Amino acid sequence: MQAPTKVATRTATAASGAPVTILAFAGDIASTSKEPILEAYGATDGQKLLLDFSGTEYVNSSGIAIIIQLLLDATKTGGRTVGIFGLTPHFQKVFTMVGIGKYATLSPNEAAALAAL
Amino acid sequence: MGFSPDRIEDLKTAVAEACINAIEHGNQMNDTLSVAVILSPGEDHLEIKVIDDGAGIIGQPATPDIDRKMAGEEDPRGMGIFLIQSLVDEAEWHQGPPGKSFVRLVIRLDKEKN
Repeated sequence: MQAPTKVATRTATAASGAPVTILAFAGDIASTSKEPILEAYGATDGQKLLLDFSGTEYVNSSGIAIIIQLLLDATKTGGRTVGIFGLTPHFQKVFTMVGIGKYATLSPNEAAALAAL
Repeated sequence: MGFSPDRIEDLKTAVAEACINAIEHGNQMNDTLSVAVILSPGEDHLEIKVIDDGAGIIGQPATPDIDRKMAGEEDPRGMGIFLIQSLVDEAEWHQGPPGKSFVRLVIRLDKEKN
């Protein structure tokens, strides 16, 4: 049974002192996640964005496509810096496998992600 | 069977992607059709067949290219078969029996030594 995606937005400060918007995902990230994720992303501003997957245990290829769509808009269109943290070791491997690590820093936790921005 | 947690996660993702393909592409989202998953343990491997009512895959899709996706030149989707092939030791797509097709996945215990 698929767990519906929930997205919470919060703010933090990067090691550099710059403000950071964090989108924290809960539930599964799959095709049905497109609307909640892209809606929450559309309401964000600022140059630095973190995606928090610590509340997520399952991501499939459709979910990865949504993240790529978000990254494409944020980095290419918006010129924003994006980091990702909180993935399970398995999905950290999967994200690296598909090349997402080339366009977003993959960190194990929030502190490391804020330091990397 | 003695697979490590890491290999079990690989298998879970590969089987989930195979089932998604079976539902979306094989059965064309027809909820009156079903998908069969058959697990056959061997001495040193586990074979999984995922069977649907579609015509099967004709030719392999191109390997996804993140740079082309990020350039907007390639659909962001289309990672499923790549993930399946990357996460298991064998992945083969077959047509038949009549009216059906299946993907056969194998993971081997000897990968534990790597």
